[in-house]
Amino acid sequence: MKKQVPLFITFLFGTVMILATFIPHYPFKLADTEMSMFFDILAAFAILLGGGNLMRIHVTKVAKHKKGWAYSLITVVGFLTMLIVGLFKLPLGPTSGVGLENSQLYMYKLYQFVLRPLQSTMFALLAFYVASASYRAFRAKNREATMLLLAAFFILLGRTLIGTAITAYLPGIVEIFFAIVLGWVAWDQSKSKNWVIVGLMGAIGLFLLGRTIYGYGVVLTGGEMEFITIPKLVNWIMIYPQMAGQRAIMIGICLGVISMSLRIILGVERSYLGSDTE
Amino acid sequence: MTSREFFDKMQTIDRRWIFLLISLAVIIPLLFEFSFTELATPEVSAIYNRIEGLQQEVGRRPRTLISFDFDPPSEPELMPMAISLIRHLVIRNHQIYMMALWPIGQQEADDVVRQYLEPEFPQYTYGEDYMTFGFQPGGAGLINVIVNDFRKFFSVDSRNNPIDSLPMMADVVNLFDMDLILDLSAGAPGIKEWVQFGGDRTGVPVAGCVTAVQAPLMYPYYPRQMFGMLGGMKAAAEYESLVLEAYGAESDDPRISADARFLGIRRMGPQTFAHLVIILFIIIGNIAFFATRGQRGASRLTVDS
Repeated sequence: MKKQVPLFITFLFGTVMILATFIPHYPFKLADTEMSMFFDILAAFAILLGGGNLMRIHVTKVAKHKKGWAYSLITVVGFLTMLIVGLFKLPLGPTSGVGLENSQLYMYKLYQFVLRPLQSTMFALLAFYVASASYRAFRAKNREATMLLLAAFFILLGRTLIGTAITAYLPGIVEIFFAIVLGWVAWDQSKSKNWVIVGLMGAIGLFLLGRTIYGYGVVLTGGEMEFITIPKLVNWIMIYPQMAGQRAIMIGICLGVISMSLRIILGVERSYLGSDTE
Repeated sequence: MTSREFFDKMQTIDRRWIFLLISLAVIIPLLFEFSFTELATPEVSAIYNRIEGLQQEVGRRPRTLISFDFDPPSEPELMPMAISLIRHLVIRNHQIYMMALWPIGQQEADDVVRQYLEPEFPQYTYGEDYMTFGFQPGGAGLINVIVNDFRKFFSVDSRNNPIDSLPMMADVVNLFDMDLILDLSAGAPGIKEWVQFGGDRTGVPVAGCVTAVQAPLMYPYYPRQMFGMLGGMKAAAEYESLVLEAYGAESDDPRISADARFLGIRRMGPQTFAHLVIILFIIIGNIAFFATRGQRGASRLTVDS
């Protein structure tokens, strides 16, 4: 009984929600709306659990003077301050309105002068670490690393106007460079008889070469030179090879989510109940 | 110092030198206000053109929903987009409905209203021309509900006014009544949820304004499920350039026509120089890597022989 009731609830609500997606009419439409609201109400209670747990861990750490207890103290003080100021909407002086757009509330001041600078500072530090990590990580140690390096290099360049300026004078130079690298990969793979990779790399290389030759044809007949510049290539990388990879990952994830959802709804997967055995 | 030692040193430059150069690459262009006019990519132009032509498309005053799903860390990239989108929507006389799936998003929306919308366009009235629903938790669940009824979640707006007291809500029941959804997104819940639960279910066109990190993840939705995308600072600057080109010259208001007010264009200077510094270090690292690899190979040959 202890297991059957949660399993039945999961099956019932899971099935109704799936049906509601495919039959967006009464009564499923109504069930969909109401259950989404139930979900939000239930999720709101999770903050009590999360907040309570946070306090329990950090207060214990402070009380026992464990290593790093001073940071825990800051966490506790920060949490309680924001909680009190936010819950009671404490005003700086006589003010009307309790909305958070009211700049005469302590909540607003804490957001504007504490939370915002702290979060922005933390994120701004990333620029320095990304620069340092790029310098160390982007080395052409092998073929895969070389491909990654080249893609990163051209995207970095393509995101600035310098990229446009360079290829305005030498259109197609990047495509030719890429075609040579891909040709080199294909040649190397042909020795190991990896014909799929040879075909793929060779086809992309030939396509880039053909694109450049076509681009020059366009340019010579008075067309737009912009056709074979770095920003266009960057767009091509993002829209075709990059998107193909992303789609493959997304489809894989979605298949995993569908199979896991079905396992949970049908009661095959029971680990969320606290144990995977009956 | 031998060439070997020199290249070894080049491979292990103290990271404090990199930090210093990145700082200079950001500070100097900001001080001297280096800025460039950007050429818009098709993803960016799609959003601009949609906003331009929406009134003609729907045959009445268009309704646009903007969701502020970001917080201060993503503000440098997303705030310039928010400002120029709001400017463009006001210029094109859209009714603007703002909301947030992130708790801090509401504050970001308030900042745009307080610092840009109200001072630059005093003729725009709260409740008639624009309004803010505020933040509600729930993410995908919230969108799922407002697809059927806004009032289930929002009985009052962020200023505590009853929703039904706002004239611009008179004919609005659910998400189907919107003509355009724009999401300023820095993660989840964000543009993915708007596409899957909002745009796909209602058929209302959705466009994403996302950080540069998030942009590659969103390309699979472009252009069918997401008709346009602003990805990162460069796209923000491109959008600003479009607005500036179309409305900057003819505007009497110096706040709209002045380049200095366009944050994305101003911030592209530091971004350009920072990228160049990173590219420079990547090149130095690789030259040193190949040089020492060659020498290592030569020294191994010598030992072997």
